Amino acid sequence: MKYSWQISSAIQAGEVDRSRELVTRSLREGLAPGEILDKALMPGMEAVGEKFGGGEMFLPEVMLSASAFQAGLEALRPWLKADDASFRGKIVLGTVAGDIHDLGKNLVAAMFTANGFEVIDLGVNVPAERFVAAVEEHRPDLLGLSALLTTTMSRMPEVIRLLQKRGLHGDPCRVIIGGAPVNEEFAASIGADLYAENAIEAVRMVRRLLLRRKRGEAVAKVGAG
Amino acid sequence: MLIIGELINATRKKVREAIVERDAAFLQDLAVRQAENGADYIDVNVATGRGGEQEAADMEWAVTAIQEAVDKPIAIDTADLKVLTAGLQAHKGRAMINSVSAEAGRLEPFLEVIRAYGGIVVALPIRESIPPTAAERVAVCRTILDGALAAGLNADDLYFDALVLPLSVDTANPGQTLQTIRELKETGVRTVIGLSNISFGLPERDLLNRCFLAMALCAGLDAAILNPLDRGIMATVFAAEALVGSDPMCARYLKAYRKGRLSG
Repeated sequence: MKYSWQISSAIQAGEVDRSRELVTRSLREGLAPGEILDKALMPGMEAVGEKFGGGEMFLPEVMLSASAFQAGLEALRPWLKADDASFRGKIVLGTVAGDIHDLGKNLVAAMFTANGFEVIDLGVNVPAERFVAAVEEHRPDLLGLSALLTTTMSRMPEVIRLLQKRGLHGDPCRVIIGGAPVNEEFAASIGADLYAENAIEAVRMVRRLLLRRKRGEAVAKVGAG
Repeated sequence: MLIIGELINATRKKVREAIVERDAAFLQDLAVRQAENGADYIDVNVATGRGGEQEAADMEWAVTAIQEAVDKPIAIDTADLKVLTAGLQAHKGRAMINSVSAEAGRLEPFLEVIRAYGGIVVALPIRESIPPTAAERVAVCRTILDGALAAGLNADDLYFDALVLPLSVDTANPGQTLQTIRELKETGVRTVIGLSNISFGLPERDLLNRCFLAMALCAGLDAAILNPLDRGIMATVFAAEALVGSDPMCARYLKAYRKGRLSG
């Protein structure tokens, strides 16, 4: 596709204005909005994710790239049709009540954005009720819970219990948790579906989960046919 | 400058395992090496996520074991009152309490326990969020100081944390921390920082840590939580203290030189 390389490299270089201009120019020249998303914007952010994982890019650069991606996406959004929205998936995330640490959570949000997910970031000190309301509203594939303190990790099971009570836990919405004091056994003990040690692993695990789900759906379709 | 050795922290995997498996020798070795390299306090964080009761028992065990091996006070690093109380009960001498904050309902019960046992306090100017600017941080420090004085503590027993946020997230962050240190010093109180957060998300973290430590010392910093086994950091402490005039006749700098502690 024309401009795909330029748009992708503008995103990787964190050039916000250039990304917006190139997307606008592509639209003017009649390129399909869905193609611009799939063949230019997404590959740009994916390359950023890979470079960050490989230690070639660093946090400030990733954040700037995410802004360039967002700028391109905003220029594109009015023209996208529902079935163009080829996001990999949708994640709602936040830091639990009583905890104001946002660094790990922001990094996870940036990495999911960098990997083509739609990210709804609820911020810090988020009560269980707000997490559940956001799941109800946005119907995400994943709910991500972060906690940095041993005193606040105990808020995680509250969220999951409330999610279950409203019948919102389970496909499509799985729960992934993370944060310094949290580990795999803790995740299992509170009924969380996934635990990730860092932002890159989180994305990897979620992509695997969604791929399995997609395959499962395909198999079910074939079976039904 | 007061140095608080940061290495005994359960977020580090080997430390977590040592706590769970009751490997006293591992923690003792880590404490002794930090003390030998200049730590005035040994920070102990047992947050393994195994629950408050268990962590209180872990803290009691760790404090006892470490004090058997090293003649330094411990900085009891927890946000859980039960864990703090267990640590203070087990501690010989005057412990450091890391930390109190101004979050709703937390300050008074913490100060009560601290008054009962005594100790040096690290105070975080945090309410329901992290105040972004120096002026707001200083205002929250004031609230904590008033509470502490009302609870019968001395101002000299408090170290106010100037809050280090990563440079990678916002390039204004280091400046706000330095300004917080300067403004706190103007009010006459003591200051502390947790150093390594400054370099999160960037390459060559040691370089940034060392430069920022020197800048913070220049702004008037009194204490830092850092890794005393890092030779570069400790060399920077000696050099910066001499440069800001807090090392009379460069005595400590020269002593460190003769012990071979200034070169990589």
